[in-house]
Amino acid sequence: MGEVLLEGSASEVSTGVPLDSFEGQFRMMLEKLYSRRGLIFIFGSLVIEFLMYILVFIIGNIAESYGYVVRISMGTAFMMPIPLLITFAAVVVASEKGGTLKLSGIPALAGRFLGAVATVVFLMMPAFVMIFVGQTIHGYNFQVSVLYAYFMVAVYVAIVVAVTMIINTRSEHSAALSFLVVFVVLPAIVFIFGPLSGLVDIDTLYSVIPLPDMVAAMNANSFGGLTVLSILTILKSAPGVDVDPFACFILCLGWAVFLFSIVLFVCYRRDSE
Amino acid sequence: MRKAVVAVFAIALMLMVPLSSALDAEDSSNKLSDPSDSSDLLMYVLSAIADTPAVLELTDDPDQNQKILTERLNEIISRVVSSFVIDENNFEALASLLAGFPVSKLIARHLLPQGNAEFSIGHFKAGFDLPQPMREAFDITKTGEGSDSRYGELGLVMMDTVSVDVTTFKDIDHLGGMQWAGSVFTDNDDVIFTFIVADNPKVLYGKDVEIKTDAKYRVDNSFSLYIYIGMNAEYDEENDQLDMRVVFSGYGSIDQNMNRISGVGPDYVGTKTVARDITADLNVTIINPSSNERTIFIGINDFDLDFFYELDVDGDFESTELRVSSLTSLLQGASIRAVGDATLKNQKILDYDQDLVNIASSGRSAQMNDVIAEAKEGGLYIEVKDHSFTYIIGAVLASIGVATIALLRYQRKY
Repeated sequence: MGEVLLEGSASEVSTGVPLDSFEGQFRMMLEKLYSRRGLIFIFGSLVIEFLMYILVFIIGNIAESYGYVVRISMGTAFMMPIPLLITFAAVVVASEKGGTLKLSGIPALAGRFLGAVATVVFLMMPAFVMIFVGQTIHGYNFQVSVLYAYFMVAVYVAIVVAVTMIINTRSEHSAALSFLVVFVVLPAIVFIFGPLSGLVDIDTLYSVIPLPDMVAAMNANSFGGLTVLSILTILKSAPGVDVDPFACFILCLGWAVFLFSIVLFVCYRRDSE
Repeated sequence: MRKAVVAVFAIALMLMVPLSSALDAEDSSNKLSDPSDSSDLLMYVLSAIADTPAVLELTDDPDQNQKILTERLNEIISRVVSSFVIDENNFEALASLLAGFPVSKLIARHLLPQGNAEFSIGHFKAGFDLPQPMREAFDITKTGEGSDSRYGELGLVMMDTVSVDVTTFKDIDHLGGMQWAGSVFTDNDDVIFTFIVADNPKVLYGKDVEIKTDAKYRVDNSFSLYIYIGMNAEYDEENDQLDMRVVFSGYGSIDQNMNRISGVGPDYVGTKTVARDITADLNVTIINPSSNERTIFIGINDFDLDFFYELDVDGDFESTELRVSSLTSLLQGASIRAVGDATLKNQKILDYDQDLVNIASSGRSAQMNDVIAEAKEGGLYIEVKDHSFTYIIGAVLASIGVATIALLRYQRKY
């Protein structure tokens, strides 16, 4: 089953924990943190965040050359790539490389699910520390919104991981497919039913459907970041994500638990067949 | 292991760059200029309004109101231009101009005030308590009924109906909408609607009607306005720099009812423009505040707008709600140099709390406190935002999930 399982097998040898247990799967997921790809991701996310930081000054200088002194929000700039980064990290971590998900049993699946979530949360930690430090330097005194955004990462990633696991039981290309579903198709549907056709009030959609924009919105004054929905709103404008942190958290948590139960159900059905 | 060390080193390096740029910012103190000339408009206005509460109650008798207003206006004008006195005639002209202004801006440009202006029952209240550091920065020595606290509050409450007769001096074929914005709006509506979300933007373009020249109408402009500004200030005398945190909240509405007296045109035209919420939380830094060459930086911590517009022509009415779009929130947290040419790397963000507000209010007269409290209450926008739907959706999904997991675990022995 490819590289991932080989790494997992190594852990079984070193720790003596069977792979189809909660602990075995949880550890196997966490080991992706120290893998080459994990370190490259951390480094890459920091480089991207750093580029966003530089971008604030570049835009400021361009504006100044036209005679305006405008500096865009540091928090907004930092949060822009976050939805993309976490969705990408979650689909890659949660999908079995070059194969379908063959695990069975609630403990093993729960271990894999929670392990994947914890891994992405840890992978994003350096970037969030950088955001925190960057904002503090630039005079933001009250920084609880960064924490809200970080909590949102955990629950939103749980949704993405569950979707990836569901798709992974049937398809080998779960990473690409689930990225397409959660990052492109879902926001596009929200846009079509919301701002474009005006069938459903966008606030109602925000209060039912969890979107990657919610994570960035916590620290970026309700701007969703570089997401499909944000880009589409250039075509037809829509108000920002105006949901309070606690409501967003509960909504995403509800969806995560629900989707995880679907993961279990799908695996149970597959095993019964 | 070596990879990890390289990664840690790279992280540390990247964190160092923003740190060092921040340290540079501390060094570049702002250039001092001689605050010699201080007789400009901002200074004049600030020293005129500092520490003054003013309450003006209008009665239901228009003649009496005219007397009250003339008296008050003369009192104010005499301080500025002693030779000019407002009498009955120029009061009428002034009132017509005042009442005609919103008509020409919000209904149609070709409507001219024709006199017969009346002020109905209403009130104008104002209380201006400038924060002490701001007074120091602007060399305002006068201390009236304001507190000496570093937190200052400004309150403004206005409510009245001004009526006037208007005639059309030209045929009118189109009225209402964003007349006040003129060609700026029609030429740039694509850009405007990227930043503003309107559920029925059509109404903002106004309506086609037919009003012939010399038609006469009676217009009632009812307006109400609540503005509250809270300011926490800190003055750095050495660098001549004033840092402020300004919290602005406001509500304003203007209703116009235009009824036909004579001539050809619709019997009734009504507009309703309501600013339900204007909220802004700003950082204002003024370098060399008391000189003419001051530099003003405005940083936006938070702002929100919520407007409502309605146009009614002979009972055929349309309305739209206007809100800021998600793209506008890109500007929140932005810092803009509004005036001047001095540079500033980092704006200071001052905090404020209830203690500061309490200290400020304990040092003021009761009348000023009342005015400020009324403005604050009226300007406060209580957002009727119910999140219970989101909670219910989340809880229901979680329950279904937990039930499914429990079912699989205990019934099916999975």
